[in-house]
Amino acid sequence: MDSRIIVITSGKGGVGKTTATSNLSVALARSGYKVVAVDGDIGLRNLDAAMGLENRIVYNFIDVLEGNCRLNQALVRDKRVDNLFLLPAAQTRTKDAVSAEQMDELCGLLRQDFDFVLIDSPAGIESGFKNAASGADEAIVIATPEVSSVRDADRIIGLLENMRKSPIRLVVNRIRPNMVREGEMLDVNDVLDILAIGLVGIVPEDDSVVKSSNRGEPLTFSDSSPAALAFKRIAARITGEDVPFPKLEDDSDRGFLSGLRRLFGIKV
Amino acid sequence: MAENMDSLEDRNNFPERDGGPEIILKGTGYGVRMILPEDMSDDALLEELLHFSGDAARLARGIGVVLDLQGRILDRSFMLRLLSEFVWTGAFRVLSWMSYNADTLEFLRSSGFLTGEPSSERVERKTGASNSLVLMQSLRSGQRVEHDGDVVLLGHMNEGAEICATGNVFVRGRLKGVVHAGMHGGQFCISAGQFEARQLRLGGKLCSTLGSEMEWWGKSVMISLENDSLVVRELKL
Repeated sequence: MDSRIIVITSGKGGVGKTTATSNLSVALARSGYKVVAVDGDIGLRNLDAAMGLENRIVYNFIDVLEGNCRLNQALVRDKRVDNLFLLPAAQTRTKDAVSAEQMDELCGLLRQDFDFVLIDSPAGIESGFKNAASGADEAIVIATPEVSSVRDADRIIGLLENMRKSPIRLVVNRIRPNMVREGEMLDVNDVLDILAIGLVGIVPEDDSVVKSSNRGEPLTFSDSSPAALAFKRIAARITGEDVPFPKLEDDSDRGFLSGLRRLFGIKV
Repeated sequence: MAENMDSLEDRNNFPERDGGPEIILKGTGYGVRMILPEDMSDDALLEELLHFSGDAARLARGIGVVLDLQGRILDRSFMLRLLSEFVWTGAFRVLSWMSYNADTLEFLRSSGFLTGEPSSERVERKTGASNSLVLMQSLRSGQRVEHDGDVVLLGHMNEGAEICATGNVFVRGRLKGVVHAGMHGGQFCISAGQFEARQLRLGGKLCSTLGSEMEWWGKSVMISLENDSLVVRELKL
């Protein structure tokens, strides 16, 4: 298949770009594709920690661009799953260390060897984002169902459209069905109504995301957590599979007492 | 390239195109206005311009051209290519530059380029019909339109988008952004299919006390300034 380069971006910080990049990379690799996850956040890298590979970094992609090493010396192979690699960013440099043209050149190199190149974009709309998006063909925009996140996502989508990225698709992250039902949180349709792009995934709020991030074990290594299942479905949709969107469960059903009630077969 | 048939009859100067956006030539009192479609990529646009030849090109060289960039976001590198590969190489005399993208206008003005319609046409327009800009799109957060005349937006205007017009502003869909109608003064109005803007500007007046508690919030309204007061009329069909 032709290589696909996807930038994962959001505008707003802290909405789940790095989490999405790490989990989708693992899910795609476990489906048999050769995948590289590129950390586009120079100076504030986190993808290495999210993937649990921080201790194995020797070189980064700026070293590659500056000719200090070959590309395969900078790539960190994930030993837990075949065909998954990380290309880390430099932590000791800043975003002006690289140009859009250099990122295009890097993407050109990666395109030759990988089925999927997932680029974790930094937050914001300035040069960091522009460089991360420059070499990409398509984009996934992460937004949480909050007014500020949706507004920032709208801004980013406008910029991506001007850069002629296609397709640009949406992941609604950290949704809490209970709050949506009570009218305290935007629902997915509200977000889609404003952003007007295709939806590729809905990820529920899930405590296991924090635990997995701290451990450096992307959720999609296991099958059980709701967020893990959501990311796996997104990965399948990215590859072209027609995967239906499941009904979101009420998240009030996940506390200790609710668990006890379920154990004894008592309905709420 | 499509041309206004009132002014140019010979279609043989332009290459055939199968669908897709086209450069449009309009004959005007001040010269040839070249409308450059914003949804054409920079490379494709330059390639198309380089094919501009024949009688139309000779006419344009003789009387001058106005380059209408529509909503295209102009950056330095494309501007330099446009100048060097088309304007200077083709020996075209550019009378002015037009755009409704506020960032592009700012870039052109700060770089010393004349913007808007050439002045003789501008004088005529004060007594003639309004100059309406019709946009068949929605405006996203951060997008800004500036226009000398009326603006008709056949889409939604998201929060964080801005429209500044010397005339009226009509938004077919949901209006959540900031609109300034009548920015040089005068009696103008703002109309929206679904009004949800927290602030609006009419003439020299600013209203920032708008909110969902108002009975016309979310409804189809026309808003004007009468005797220094905001007058809101609900539009019902």
